[in-house]
Amino acid sequence: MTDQYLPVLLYILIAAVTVALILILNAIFGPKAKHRKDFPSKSTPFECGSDLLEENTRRVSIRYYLIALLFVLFDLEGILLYPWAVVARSLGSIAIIEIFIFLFFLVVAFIFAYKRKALDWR
Amino acid sequence: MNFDPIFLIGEFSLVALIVILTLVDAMRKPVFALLGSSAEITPDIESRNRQATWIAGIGLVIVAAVYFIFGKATSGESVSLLHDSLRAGGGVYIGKLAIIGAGILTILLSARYTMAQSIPAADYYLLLCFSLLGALTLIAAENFLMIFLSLEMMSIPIYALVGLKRYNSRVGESAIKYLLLGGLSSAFLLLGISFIYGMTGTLVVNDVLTHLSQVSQTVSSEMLLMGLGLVFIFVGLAFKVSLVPFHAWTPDVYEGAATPVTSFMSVAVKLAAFAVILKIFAGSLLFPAFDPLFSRLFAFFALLTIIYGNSVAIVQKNVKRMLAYSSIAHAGYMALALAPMGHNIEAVQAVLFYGIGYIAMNMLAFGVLVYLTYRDKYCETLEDLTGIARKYPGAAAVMSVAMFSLGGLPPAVGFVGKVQIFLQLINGKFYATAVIALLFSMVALYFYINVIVVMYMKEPEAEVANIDKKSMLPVWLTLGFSTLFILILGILPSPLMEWSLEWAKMLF
Amino acid sequence: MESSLILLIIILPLIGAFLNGTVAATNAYRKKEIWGEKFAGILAFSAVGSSFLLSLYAVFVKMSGIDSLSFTPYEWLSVGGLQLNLSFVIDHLSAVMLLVVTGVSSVIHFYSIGYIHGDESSVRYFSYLNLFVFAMLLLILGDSMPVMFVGWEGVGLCSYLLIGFWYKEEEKAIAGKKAFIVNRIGDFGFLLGMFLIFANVGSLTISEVNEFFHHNNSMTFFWTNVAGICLFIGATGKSAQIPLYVWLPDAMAGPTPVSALIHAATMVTAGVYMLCRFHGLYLAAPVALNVVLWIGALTAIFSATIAIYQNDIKKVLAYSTVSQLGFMFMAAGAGAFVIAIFHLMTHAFFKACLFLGSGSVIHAMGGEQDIRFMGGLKKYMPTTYITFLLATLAIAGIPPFAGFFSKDEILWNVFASDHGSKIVWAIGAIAALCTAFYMFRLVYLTFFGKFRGTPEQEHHLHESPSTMTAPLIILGVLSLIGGWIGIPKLLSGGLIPNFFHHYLEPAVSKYGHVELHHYSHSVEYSLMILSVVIAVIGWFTASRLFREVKKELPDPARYSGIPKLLWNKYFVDEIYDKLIVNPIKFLATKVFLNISDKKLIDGAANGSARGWRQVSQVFSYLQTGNIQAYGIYIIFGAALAVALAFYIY
Repeated sequence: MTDQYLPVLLYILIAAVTVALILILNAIFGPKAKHRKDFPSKSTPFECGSDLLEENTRRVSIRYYLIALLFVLFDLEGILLYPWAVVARSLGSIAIIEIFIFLFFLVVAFIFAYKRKALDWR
Repeated sequence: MNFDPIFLIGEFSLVALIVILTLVDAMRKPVFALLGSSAEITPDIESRNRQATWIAGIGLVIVAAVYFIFGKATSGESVSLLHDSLRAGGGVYIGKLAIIGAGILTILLSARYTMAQSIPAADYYLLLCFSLLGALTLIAAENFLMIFLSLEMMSIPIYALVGLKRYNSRVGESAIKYLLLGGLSSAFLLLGISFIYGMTGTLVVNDVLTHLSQVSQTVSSEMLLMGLGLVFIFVGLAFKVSLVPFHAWTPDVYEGAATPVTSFMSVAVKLAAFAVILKIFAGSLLFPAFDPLFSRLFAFFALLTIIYGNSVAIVQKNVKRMLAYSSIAHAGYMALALAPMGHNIEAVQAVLFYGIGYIAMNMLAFGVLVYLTYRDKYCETLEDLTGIARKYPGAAAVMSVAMFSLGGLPPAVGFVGKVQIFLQLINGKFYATAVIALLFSMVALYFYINVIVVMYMKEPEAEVANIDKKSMLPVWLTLGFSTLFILILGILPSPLMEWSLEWAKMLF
Repeated sequence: MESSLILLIIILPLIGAFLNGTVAATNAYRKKEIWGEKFAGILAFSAVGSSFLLSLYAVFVKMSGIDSLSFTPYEWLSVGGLQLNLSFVIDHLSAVMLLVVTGVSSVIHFYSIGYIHGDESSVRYFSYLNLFVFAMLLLILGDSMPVMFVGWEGVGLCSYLLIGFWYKEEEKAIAGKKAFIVNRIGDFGFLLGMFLIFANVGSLTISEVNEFFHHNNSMTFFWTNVAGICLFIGATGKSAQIPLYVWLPDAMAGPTPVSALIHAATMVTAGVYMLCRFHGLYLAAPVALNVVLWIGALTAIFSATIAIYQNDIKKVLAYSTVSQLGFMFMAAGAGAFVIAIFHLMTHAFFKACLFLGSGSVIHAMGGEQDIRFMGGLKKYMPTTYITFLLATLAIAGIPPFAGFFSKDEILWNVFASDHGSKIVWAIGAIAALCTAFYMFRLVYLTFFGKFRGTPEQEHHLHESPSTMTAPLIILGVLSLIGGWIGIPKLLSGGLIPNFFHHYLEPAVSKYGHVELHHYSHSVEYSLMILSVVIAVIGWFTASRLFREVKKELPDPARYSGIPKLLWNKYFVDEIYDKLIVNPIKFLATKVFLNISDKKLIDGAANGSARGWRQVSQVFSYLQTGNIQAYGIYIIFGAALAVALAFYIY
């Protein structure tokens, strides 16, 4: 039984060793600096020498996340409806009732979100 | 499908309440204009808040009443529902009532607090009800997947609740902390569950337990992986009940959150999480392979928790932080009862007894803080409490009751709870552990009594601020109920013993 | 039905106490007139009164033909081998006590309505009084020792509260403290006895304890006696026996109805009652029983002699109470538990009557308590006079008053019983002589002769209102007829059955019976006649000396010799101060406070607290507020758990 997991263990070990190795080598060979400001390039996002093309700390409106979240919600609803549609006939009336309960709650949530103007982009 | 809805009547009525709350608030107009103070209907935040408060409060009382009356029929025998994912009826009746009770007390405390702190009340109560729903299903869950789902359903609304006063940077900080660390702990829990699932091929708790009890004592890979799974589950749950060193979020979050939310977290969430711990680790079946390990794990982490929690509480100047550390320490006491791993019903009963009693004590302590809080004035530090006894004798008196009970002095319920916990240790021959724990409960007395000293024996430096005594009735209801609960069950503890025994039977 | 009846009897006074107490605490009655003192008084009275009526119903209707009613409303604690139940029982013994306590309490509550009228904290007074009745009922009806102990402590607390009722006067507050502390000393004895019994018997239910000692006494003879003596020490505290009687005379600082109820009729008899409850134990502990006998006899004579030279009307009655309690213990010590309870009952009637009468006198005299300044009150207060006289005749043991039957039987039992002793009988007889003497001295000085007070006082002399005289009449009549239910067989020639004996005998002879030596009827008759003669001698002497006091009574300060000794109560208080209180104070302040407490304990406690604060401070540095650190703690904890797992296997 253990044999099955041996590769996993090996993988964990290799990963850990690699990370440790890189860090150690860096510490040994890298330039040593007391302060970050001695090496301005260390403060850049990629530490590779090339400058950024544009500022990456732009603010994204909070509404973006809100709408994205709501999208996920209703998207999942749609996805769930597919398998239901496949087996609905064989399950009979109980399936209808259950899916309507499910949809009812989603509709409530939708009304809530809509009335709270969560979907308005302004 | 033999499914009797009566068994889930509590959850169903709670869901109905949630729907009503959602729709009413979505209308953005006070539907129940009668309850508003002004005759004209203006959709201002205050009247909406008041309306949401009323609906939530009355609604939850109705939920409790419905469950109390109709659920009573289910209290005889328990059944498994939905393919062994929920166990309803039997002693869970008691547990659910306790949790709903904690919810009602929280709402009573919140009524004034939300108003004074202009927290969007509708969102607040919605989240609280969601969390309550999660707690209800959590203590009934019989399936690891259900446990995980319920745990998240209980926790995620709390993350949001903590951050609801979002214009305060400290609040945002604590909410984010709680969220991230909660995610980490959930990861541990899930990892553990998947280990267990991988080894046993089932997610039903009882089947898993049967598997676990059959694992032989000789070291084997099977034992190793199962043990790892159990340890990870332990870590995930230990986070929820805040055992040291999984506790670090507790003080920051307790301090940052609105006081009623803090009280809810410290009692309901903790109790429900403990119910799960008890179900998995202390149930009827012996695990000959794992008992020695978990005996030491519980003893070790519980002692660490008691020592750390009580020690750090001493130097706190903020009462909410102090209570946070005290709540950490109390989790330690509850976990301590499991140290003998006797799989006996008395140990489980002792923990549940303590947990239910703890609801009243902490509600009382936080309730007093809510009582003394008003619009721009938080009551959080020891200085805020200095010398209040002269001006608010009632609040000071009930605070003293709470401190006595938390400190474990008779005739409060905390004393009886501690006695039972220590009896478990003595019966399990954990003498050294018991002595250390006892020593640190004496250390704890220092900071509990200190609150009383500060309230009664010190003169306030500045004049004690006036609090707006308007709409104080709900707070007094909570305070009064909790005080009576503590004192009556401290003197005559046997009903609570019977209730917790009923509940304990469920976990066997 | 029965259960709720018992519960109701007990709980009614508590409800009364609670209602009045909340009102008194909130001072609501000062702002609004709805809850005046009258209402409070009537509420308190009706609570106790209905409790009394229910007790009558329970005892005479519910219990006819049954030995006992018992009721366990609540399982208190069940920890390990300890099973504590909140259980109550009414058997024939507690039934007598129940009726006496609720009956006398009702009468005294009624009296109090008139007495306490006009006091600013009368609501508080009634609350305490009701609370006392509740605690007393717990004590009487409790079937397990812890319940009894709760009642035992409860009555002690109420006694403390009521003695110090006028706490603004320092001397009264001190008297309250003294009572409480002395009682606490006795309570240690009671507790020790309780622990001893639990350690050996394994049960705290009184009936089981008695059963144990009766059937299979596996406790050694020595420890059985020690347990008996320990319990008796508790009784000496509560029932004011040597050496712990000193609090009772000081307790007269309380309101007079309180003295009548608590310090004469009910609470102080709790020790006697407790002894009778544990008769199974005591019958197995002859040495302890002998101690009881002797202590009782010594107390009886000791305090009777002190009473002769007291001038304070209430002090005389207080010492008389101590002395009468001594008689009860003599009876119990002789194994005659029925007689002890019989005397307890008759004593409750006549002593309550005497105290209430003295209250009426003090009321009329405008607070004056010194009998040297009274006299001739007969014509001003006829009702008080007649009832007082009835009660005096009863206590002196003149037939056919109540006290005669009980006291005569005590002396006869002490004389004839296996456990008794002729010497003790002689002591008892002398004490009875003193009793008759000092009581009639009191009556003559108070009610006969010329008035010796100020003219102003004379002007104000008046009979008390009917709320006060009605109780006096009830108790006076009871002092006359109360003894008739226990007429000895010898006197009535068997024509009138000895109801009391028949009723109580089964309850206290279940676990053995003390045989009387067989004496001929002539001996019994002659002893009876002797005791009457003794009483009459006392009466006659007092009448010669004090009926018409011509010259002024001497100032006690000028006493010398034996009168000085007696006036100063044998200097017992002073001896206690010198021998016990002062050394303890010295130890406490000089040794314990300054050296061990301040230096050692405070030093250790403060030092360790300071030290631990440092540790706590270090711990609290872990709480950096940095979320990465928190995450690391969790990972670290998990690693620790896993490491522990590997370490174990």
